[in-house]
Amino acid sequence: MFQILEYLFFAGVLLIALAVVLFLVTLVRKRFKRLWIPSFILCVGIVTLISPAIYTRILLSVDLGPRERMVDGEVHISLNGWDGNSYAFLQTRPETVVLQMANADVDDQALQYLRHMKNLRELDLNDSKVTDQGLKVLVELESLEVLRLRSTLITDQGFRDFLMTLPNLKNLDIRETSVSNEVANEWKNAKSGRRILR
Amino acid sequence: MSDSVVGLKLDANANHDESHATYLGRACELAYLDAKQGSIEFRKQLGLDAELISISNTQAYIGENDGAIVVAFRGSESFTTIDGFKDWLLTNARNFLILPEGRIGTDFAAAGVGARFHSGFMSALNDIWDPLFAKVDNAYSECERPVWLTGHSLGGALALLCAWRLHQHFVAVHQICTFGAPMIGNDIAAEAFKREFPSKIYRYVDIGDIVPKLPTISLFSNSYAHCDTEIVVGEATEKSALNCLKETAAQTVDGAINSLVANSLWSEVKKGMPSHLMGNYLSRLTSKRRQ
Repeated sequence: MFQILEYLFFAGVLLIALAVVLFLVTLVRKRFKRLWIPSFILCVGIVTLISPAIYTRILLSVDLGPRERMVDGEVHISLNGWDGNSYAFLQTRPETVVLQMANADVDDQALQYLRHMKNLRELDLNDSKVTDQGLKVLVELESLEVLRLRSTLITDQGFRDFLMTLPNLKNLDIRETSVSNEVANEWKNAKSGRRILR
Repeated sequence: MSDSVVGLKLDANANHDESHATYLGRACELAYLDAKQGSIEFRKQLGLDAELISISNTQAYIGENDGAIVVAFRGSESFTTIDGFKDWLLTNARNFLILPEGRIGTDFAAAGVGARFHSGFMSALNDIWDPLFAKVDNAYSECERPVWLTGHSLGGALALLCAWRLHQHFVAVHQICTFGAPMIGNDIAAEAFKREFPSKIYRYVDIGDIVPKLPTISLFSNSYAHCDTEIVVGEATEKSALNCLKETAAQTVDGAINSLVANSLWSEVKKGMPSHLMGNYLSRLTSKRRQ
């Protein structure tokens, strides 16, 4: 799409150049009645030249999701900052592998829709209202490797009860939570290759 | 490059100050050297074991020592060479705001489904990402040390985008320091960077440098925004080309630009070009430290 806009822009430049040349030719030959031809080309050129700018700045509205993509045969769903408000449709996407739902309106209730995502490998819950209760759902998601919980309401208790035992969990984001360094280190040191953002 | 700077140090425990900027600025300058010379100078001047990774038009040095991992991105090659022109065409000129497809798209969609990024910078990062990440990831796995990212001009834009992706892969970024870098994305993207890297981004901008004002004036582009925190260097009293333009407009109420005004405008524009060079940023920092 953007390539077409680029071509339009350069086509506009060429048309304007052509119009200028024709203008000069017509003036030199003193065929003033034919001046409408270069004028017309000039107008078309200018419109062509500015059309990409009009499209990208005025007509093109930003798509606010949900963003669903197949990446290397996996379903990736991004809902961060989307304009929807019901997460119920996630029930119909049990094959999801990467799910981003770092929104303030995501709570423990919304996590119930993730119950059947047995392939879920990466989950982004940053800046959500998730509490220890919500983590209970995650225990069943055994494929989970990457979990983001920045600025959520989880505590040491929930961490111990539900995250410590997740077999494949490798990467955790617990910035701006009340999880203590002690608990975090215990989890990190239990298995090599684990990483924490804190 | 004088010998007086030998022995520069990075102190990860200190808050950001000019010593960080001088060290990283030096790394940006050395990033323009070729692989062999670069390795020698990184060792000599910064105490880093550094290696150049170069894929098509994107180059970065990855250096490490006991206390730090430093990634320094090279900016555009000189515009006057064929390579430089290709560089410019492939990265700077193709400045549509996009969210790419593939894994890189998922990584950046985390900034919000409405976030959009400069398409040229995005493909430049994508080119170099696999070998770059493998090396940084390896170094970070061996020993988790503070990771510093830096770059001049185009390199600064790449440093910012690279930082985002490193966080997506759980390599904790300590600080990002850019010099004369252009904008990388729209306002949603800038907001997401602010949230992800609170007081970790330092954008050095010379008052006369026009590159950080790009690419707002492009005909193709949508609206761009900068992320925090901007640090302005250079004399505030100095006239920038932009201010000079405004003054010129005021002086020409009688309708004619006389040759005097035209000359002064041209000299400001000419001054604006060198103020983008990395050497200028380093000398600004040195004079700031002396004060």
